[in-house]
Order: sequence, then structure tokens, then C-alpha cells
Amino acid sequence: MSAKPDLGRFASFGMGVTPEEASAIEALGYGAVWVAGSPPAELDWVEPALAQTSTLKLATGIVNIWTARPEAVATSFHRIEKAYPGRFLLGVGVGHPEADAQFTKPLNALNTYLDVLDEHDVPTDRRVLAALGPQVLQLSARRSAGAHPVLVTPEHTARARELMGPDAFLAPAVPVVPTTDAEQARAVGRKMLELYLGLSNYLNNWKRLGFTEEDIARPGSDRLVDSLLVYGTPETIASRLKEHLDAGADHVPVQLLTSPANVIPTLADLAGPLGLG
Amino acid sequence: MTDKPDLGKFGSFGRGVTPAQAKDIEALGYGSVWVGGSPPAELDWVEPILENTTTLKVATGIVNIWSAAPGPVAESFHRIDKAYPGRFLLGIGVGHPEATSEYQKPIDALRGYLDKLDEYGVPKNRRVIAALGPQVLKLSAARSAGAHPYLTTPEHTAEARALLGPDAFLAPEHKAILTTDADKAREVGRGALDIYLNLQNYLNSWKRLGFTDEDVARPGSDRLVDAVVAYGTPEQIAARLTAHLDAGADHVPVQVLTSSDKLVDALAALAGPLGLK
Repeated sequence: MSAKPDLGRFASFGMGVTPEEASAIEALGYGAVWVAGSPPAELDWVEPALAQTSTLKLATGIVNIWTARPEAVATSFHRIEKAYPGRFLLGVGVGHPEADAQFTKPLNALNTYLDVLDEHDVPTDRRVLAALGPQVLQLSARRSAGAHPVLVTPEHTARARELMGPDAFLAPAVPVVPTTDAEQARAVGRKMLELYLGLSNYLNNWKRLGFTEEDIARPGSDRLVDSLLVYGTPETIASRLKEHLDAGADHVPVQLLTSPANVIPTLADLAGPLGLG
Repeated sequence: MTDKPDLGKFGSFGRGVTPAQAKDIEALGYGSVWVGGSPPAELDWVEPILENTTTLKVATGIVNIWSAAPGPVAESFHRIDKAYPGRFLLGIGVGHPEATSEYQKPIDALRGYLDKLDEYGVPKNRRVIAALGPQVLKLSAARSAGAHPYLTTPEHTAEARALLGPDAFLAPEHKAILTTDADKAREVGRGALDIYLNLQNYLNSWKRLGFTDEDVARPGSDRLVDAVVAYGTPEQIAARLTAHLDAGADHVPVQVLTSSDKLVDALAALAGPLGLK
């Protein structure tokens, strides 16, 4: 008996969503919309998207524990849950602390944050943690529904599944560039990766996956970019995304690196090859 | 007649201080404590500091407009101002948006945020804006008390003063390391700079100041590190910090790069040379 969240197999992952977009994404057969970018604790954009849809789930990827108080986030969770029971999943994470943040260990801070969410009755199986390394992955299985890794490979997904066991929810987000032009895809990908190529938690994770110092040196090797990002025909993209499911993922949020206007049309192109609808 | 905020000549900038440290910092003659790092909207750490001190000002450097909604921030402002009138300065800024955030131009988002603060009655002269480039600097003079630049040089301060005019408040942060060992200082300085060497707004700001592509390439040239991090004897550091005042700054928040337990001792060593009581 597992109380795993059910978000379908694929989702759209982006910086925000209008209610109209949410409605279109639901109609295409995607099970969820994940919203990134350390949103404020109020989460007041969630209800309009849920109001406009009927089964779509909304998830945060992620609420940043350094910028949103757990008490306020718990209040938002209960407000949403009361209006739209079972349709919101709270993703939390440590983000990328500034270089001078040495005062609290991220793992301790995360545990404390989860303590407060416990105190305020945010159920364990309604939250997920942004996780890359073994420590936080294990924590996510123990103190939340599971893990939401980003910028990882199917190998990471397989290892995470092994580490977390069958009952944990595993939802790796994968960036997608909708083009068959490898040079263009890599250029877009490198721009997106630039920030992460300076963050030691990502660098360490990639090294654990067997990437070399040369691979992860800016601007990132073709091998690294081609492993973390997916591009090609809709069929190629779909088969790369399914590799995560085959490796043990429950759900794959798809982060389209394209203009906002192009998101829905691209999700529509991918829906067939992904077996949605 | 100007209603510039008066925070004294120097302040302490960091990730946060205890009320006991705040009291020591006030006793040393520093006029303010600035707290960095995108804090949650509640700002509930402000009152304990103000309670334990009598004239010290507290400023945020900064509240991040993407992660703290203006309504709750305005509420916090009024709560603090009611208990400790005139002793809190609200610094806001766009932080460094994730690479994927393309929904809104940062300056438009900043304007929208200021509109909300207006609506909620947060006085213009009680807020400052994190600013580097000319556009946001001008916005800071038009819609707040002034600017709080970060990782800049006295040349930047002089240019900002020329742009802002005499009535705007100008408070550039500057980093300091109490060591005469240049190699050690540069090593610590590079650690603090690392993440910023990845962020386009800082790279652009440094290039506008005449630093070359080589200077701003990671891990940063000695020339760059030496320009944005002051080190040496307390007298040498004080001279470097005072150069910002000479260039037109009203107030210099000093970020001593040291562990929390050594902060007050370091500020004590600088107090004399800085001409504080």
C-alpha cells in the first residue's frame, strides 16, 4: 500500500502558468504543472489554475526554504487543499544558497523546515523535496513523498530509485529544446546551464554520475549538455523522456526551453509521441 | 532640505546578527546592520535586534521581489515601524533571477512591486533599491530613497552619485577581510565572488567599470578581486572604505568576510580607523 502522489506520467515544468495555459495543458493529457523559481509563501497563483481545470495537479518546484517561512507555506497549503482537495503537491528545497551563506547547514535547515511543516499538519505524502545527492534523496523518502531532482540523467534516476526504494515518488525534471538542430539546442542549453555550472551541488552531482572536470568546466562539454538536455524530433524527445520512466521515475516534468508563446504548441507536438491524450 | 535616511557613515552587512551582536555593533559606533540573502516576507528577526539596541538601524539588503510578495512585506514594514519608528529601512531588489525566468523584465517587475508598496503605504523614503546599472539607479532615485549597489568600486559610486543627484541616498556595500596576507585575502575573496562571476548583471556592471573579459572570467583576476574586496591593515581597509564616502556615498555597509563568531572583533578593529566613536 503506497500513498504515492498520482500526477500522471508527464507534466509541464516552467516559471509560471496562466489558468488558460493550465486548461490547455490538461486537455493535452499532461497530469500536472510544476512551477519553479522560489515563489512567495502565499502561492496565490495556484487556485486560479486549479479553478480552470478539473483533474490537473499543481506542484511547486520548488518553494525555497530560505525565502518562504514554513508556517506561511503551511497556511497556503491548507487554503488550497480545502478548496481543491488532493490537487496540490508542495515541493520544497534549499535552492542554491549564496556563496556567503555559511551560517546553517542546508540539511539541518531542511530538517527543521520539515519539522515545522509537520507541526502544521502538512502531510508527508503531499510534499516532495528537491534532491540530488544521496543524503537528501534518503531524507526525501523518509520525510516526504519523494524526490524531485533536476538536471539529471536516467542513470541518476536509476540510482535514486535504488536508494529510495519502490514506495518513494520520483519525479526528475528534464529540460527540452524543441529543435533537431544540435548546435542550436546546445547553445540554448548552455545558456540555461550557465548558472548551474557555478553551483557546487550540481557540479558534485554530475561528477558522481561520471562526468569529468573537463565536462563540467564552463561552458559545459557537448557530452554533458547532450546528457542533461533533450532535443530532436518529437519522437526522439519522447523516447529520451521515457528513459527516465524506464529507469524508475514515476513522473517526468518537462521543462521546455522555448518562448512562452511556443510552450503549448510544443507540448501538443509531444503529446502523441508521449502517449498522452 | 532632504529626508535622506540617516544610518551613520558605516554599517555592518551580513547574513544576519544576533541581538547581542547588534548591541555590540551599535556600541562600536556603527549606524546600521544590513541583512542580505532574500529573507522571507515576515521579517520577524528585525524586532529582536531593534529591541536590544537604541539607535541602530536595520536594513534589508535585500528583500527579493520574486520570493517575497509585496503585501506581506508591507505588513511587516508597518508592524516594525509601529514598534520602532524610523529604525527600519526596506531594501528590495530583483536578486538574480534563474536563467529560465523570461516572463517579465526585471525592471518592470520592480516597478510593479513599487506600485504595490505605494498602495500599501510604505513611504518612498523608507525604501532603497539594489541597483547596479543606470536604469535601476535612476529608478531608485525616482521611486525610493536611493540605491544600494553591491560589489562595486568607488568609481561606480562617483558615477552613481552623478547620475542620482545630491538628494538620493547611496549606500554601496563593500567587502573586507582583516588580513595583510594578499594571497589569503584573494582566496577568501574569490570564494565570496564565485557565484557572482556567473551572473550577467554583475559581469556587465564590472565591464562598465573598465574590467576586461579576462578580469571577470572565473575565478576573477587579482585586479578585480583587489578592487571589490578590501584587505590589509585596519587603516588600509578603512581608507578603502572611506573612498566610497569621498566618491559620494552617504553610508557604507561593510561586509566583513569572516565567521559569525569573529564578526564583532573584526568590526571593533576597524572602528577606530573608520573614525567611529
